Amino acid sequence: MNGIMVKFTKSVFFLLVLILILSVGVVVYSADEDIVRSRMRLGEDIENLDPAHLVRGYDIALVLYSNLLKYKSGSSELVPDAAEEVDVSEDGKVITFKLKEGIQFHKGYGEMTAEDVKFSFERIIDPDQNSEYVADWQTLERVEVTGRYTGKIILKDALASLLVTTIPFTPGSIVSKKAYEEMGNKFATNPIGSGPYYLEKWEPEQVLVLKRFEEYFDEKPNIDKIELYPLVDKNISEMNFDKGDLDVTEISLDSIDRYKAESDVDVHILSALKYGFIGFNHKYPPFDNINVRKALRYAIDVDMIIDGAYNGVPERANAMIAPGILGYWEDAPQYNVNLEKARNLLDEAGYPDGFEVEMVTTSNPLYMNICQIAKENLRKIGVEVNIKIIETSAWYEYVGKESHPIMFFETFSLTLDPGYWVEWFTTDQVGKWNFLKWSNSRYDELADEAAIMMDLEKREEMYIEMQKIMDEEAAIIWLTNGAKAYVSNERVKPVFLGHYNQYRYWEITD
Amino acid sequence: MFKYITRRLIVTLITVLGATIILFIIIQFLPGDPATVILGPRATPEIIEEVRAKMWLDRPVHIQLVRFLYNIVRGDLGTDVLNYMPVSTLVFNALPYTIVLAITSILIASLVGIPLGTYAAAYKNSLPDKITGLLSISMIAIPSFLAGVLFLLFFSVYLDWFPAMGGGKEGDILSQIWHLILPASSLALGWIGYIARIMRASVLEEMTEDYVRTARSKGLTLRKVIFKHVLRGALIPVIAVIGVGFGNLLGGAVITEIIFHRPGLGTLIYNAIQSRNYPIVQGGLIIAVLLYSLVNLLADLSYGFIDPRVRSD
Repeated sequence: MNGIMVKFTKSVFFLLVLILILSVGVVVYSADEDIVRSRMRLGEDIENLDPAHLVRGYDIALVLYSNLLKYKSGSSELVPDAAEEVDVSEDGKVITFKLKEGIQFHKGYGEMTAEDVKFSFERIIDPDQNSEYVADWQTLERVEVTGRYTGKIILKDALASLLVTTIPFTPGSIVSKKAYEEMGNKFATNPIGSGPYYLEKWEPEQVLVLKRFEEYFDEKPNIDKIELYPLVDKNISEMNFDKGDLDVTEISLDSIDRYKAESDVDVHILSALKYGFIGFNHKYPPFDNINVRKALRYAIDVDMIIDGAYNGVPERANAMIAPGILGYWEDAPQYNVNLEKARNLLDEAGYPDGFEVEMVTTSNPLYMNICQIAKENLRKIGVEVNIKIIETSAWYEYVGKESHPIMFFETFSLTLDPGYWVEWFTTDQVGKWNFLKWSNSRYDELADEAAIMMDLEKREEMYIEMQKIMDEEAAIIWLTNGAKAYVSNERVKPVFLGHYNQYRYWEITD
Repeated sequence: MFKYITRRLIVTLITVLGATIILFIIIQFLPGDPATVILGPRATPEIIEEVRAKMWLDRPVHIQLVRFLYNIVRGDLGTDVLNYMPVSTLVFNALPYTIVLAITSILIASLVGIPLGTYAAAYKNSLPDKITGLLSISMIAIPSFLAGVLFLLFFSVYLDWFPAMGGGKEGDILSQIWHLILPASSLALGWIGYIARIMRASVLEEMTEDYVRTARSKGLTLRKVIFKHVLRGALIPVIAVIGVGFGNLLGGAVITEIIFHRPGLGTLIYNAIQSRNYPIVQGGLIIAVLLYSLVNLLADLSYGFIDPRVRSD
C-alpha cells in the first residue's frame, strides 16, 4: 500500500516541477513592444478584403487602401488622400482628379496611376463582379484616363452621397490593377493597396496582422504592427484587456464605470450612429390605427429604457438622424410618458381595455432587456406584451416576410450620409429591409430627390421633412442613436474618425 | 481479430455516412437564408441569387446531397463562398488544435482521475476516499465553460500565470504548450471527477472477483494484485467512457475554444453557423463525425487488446 503512496508523491512532485518549468517559460516569452493589439471591430472576423466585396472590416480597408479623398481625423472635413486635387463640376456630373506622383502599392506592385483608379471604380459597376457596392456608384458612367496621373469620373447623374461616403470609404478604395489581374479570386485574401499598412498575415478566426508599409506616401504611422483579434464576446475581450493582452477593445456599456475608476485606462464613449426603435408593423391591426400608435408612444418610457438597458450612457433620440449628420432635426418633439393621454387615445381607437400583443426581437441581451422594460410600460395602459425571441441569423428573413406585430431593433451602424439612414423606410423596401411595412409616397419622393440634391441646405430640409412625416404619423418610437464604449491603455492613443465608429489605426501613437 | 476489425470498420463507415446525411438535412432546415445572412443588408437580389447559386442552394436538397457526397469521396470539401478559400484548408488548419486540446484534456483527466479512483477504491470508506468522492462530484458538477471562465479570471487575469488567448506562436512549441494548459485543464476538470468515480466503482467491482481472492490467498500484496490483475479489467469501462466522452469533449471544446480564443474546429464551426457559411459547417462537421467515429473505433479495438474476452463475443 505504501508503494501506491510513494508513486503518488512522485507524480505530484513531477507535476509541480513541470509547472515550475513552464512558469519560467512565460517570463522568457515577453511581448514585442512595437505592436498594438486590438479586438476586431464588432468582434467579427473578416471574410473578404477585396473592396468590391468587403462587408466586414471597413476599418481595415481604411488602412490597406488609399482613396482619392479622406476625412481629416476627428472631423467631417474632407482632405486629399491619394489625389493631389479633386474638382467637381458645377452640375456635379464630372469629377476631375489628379493623383500624387510616386504612390507605391504594397509588396512591389508598382506606382499608382489613373488606370488603377479607373479599374477600381469601374469594376464595382461591372455586372459580372456583382459588387455589394453597386448602389454607391449607381450613377457612374465611366472613368476617363487623361494622363498617367489624371482622369475624369463621368457620372450619368449627380449623386450627393458620392463625396460623403463613396469616394472616402470602402467603395472608393483604389486597388492595384496589376495585382488584381494577376490574382483574381485570391485578391480577396491577398489585398494590394497603397495605405499605411499592408496585410502581413491572416489566420481565420484567430488574428489579422497589419504591418507598417515603409514606402507609404504620406506620414508614416508610429506603430510597426497592428494585431486584430476577432473576439466574439465583449466580456472575454475585457478580460484580455485587463490582463494586458489587448491594448484597445470595445467594452460593454455596463463596464464603463469600472474602467473610469482605473487611472491608467482611457475610456472613450462614441456615438454609435445607428437607431434603436420600437417599430410597429403598419399592416398588422391594431397598429394600422394611428391612435393606437400614438397611445403607445405616450406609454413607452424612453428615459427608463436608456437608464435601465443602456446604463444611462447614450443620449435620447427624438428623431432618426443623429446629431452631426446632415439632416439632424434639432427641434423634434419629445414624447414623455403621459398615461392619461395614452389611455384616452386607446379609448378613441376602440380599445378601452387594451389588447394582447406579441413583441419580437433577437437574442441580443440588450434587446431582451429593452423589451422587458417596454412590456412593463405597456402593461400600465392595459396592453399585454408577450416577448418572442428570434435567433439573430433568422431575424432578417423573419421580419422581412412574416407578419410580426411590434418589435424592438437597432439598425447596423450607418454611414455619414443621411441617404443611408432614410432608405430603411421607403416603400420599395417593404418585404425586404422596411420592417415597419410603412409606406408614404411623399417620403419616397423626398428620399429620391434628396439623394441627388447637391445644395446642402435644401438637402438638409428634405431630410428633416421626411422625419416630420414619420413623426406626424407616429410611424415609430425612437429610443436612441446608441453609444459605443472603448478602452485603451496608456501606450496607445486611438484617434476616432468623427461620427464613424472606426479606429484610425495609422494614427495610433505611442 | 481481422474479422472483428473489418466488421467494426464497416459499422464505422455506415455511421459516418448516416451522420453526414442527417447533418446535411438538419442544416438545410436551419432558419435564415445563408445568402442573406452572409451578405447583410446591402446585397441586391442579384447578388443574393449569385451566392445562392454558388452554394447550390437553388437546387433540390437531394441533388445537393448527392453532389456533396460525391465531392467528399473525391476529397473535396468545397469552397468558402465569400473568400474562395478551400474548406479543407480551413478545416485541416484548425483540426490539429482541436485534437491536441482534446487529447491533452483526456490525458490530464486520465492521469489524475485513474490514480485518484484507484486510490479511493484501495482505501474504501476512509477519509481520503470521502474527500476524493466529494471533490469528484464537485468537478463533475462544474460545466467546462464555467471552469474556463473561472480559470481565465484566476490563473490568467488575476495571477497572470498563463496567457489568456490564442493557440501560441507558430513553430514555438513552448508557447503552444503554455497556451494549452488552461483550456485543456478546464475541459478536463469534469472528466477527472467522472473518471475517478468510474475507476473507483470499477476497481471495487473487480476486487470482488474470485481471482482476486485467489491471488490474495496466495500471498500477493494488495498493490501487486491491483497493478497486475485488477487494473487490466477495471480500465475497460473507463476506456469505453473516454471513447464516448470524446464526442462530449468536442462539444465542450467549442465553448472552451471561444473562451480562450483558440483556433480549432469548434471555433470554425461555431462562427460558420453564425454566418450560415454552409460549406464550412458541412465540411467541419463531417470531419468532426469522422474523428468521433474513429476514436470510438479505437476505443472498441482497444478493449480487445486489454481483455481478450471482448474479441471472442
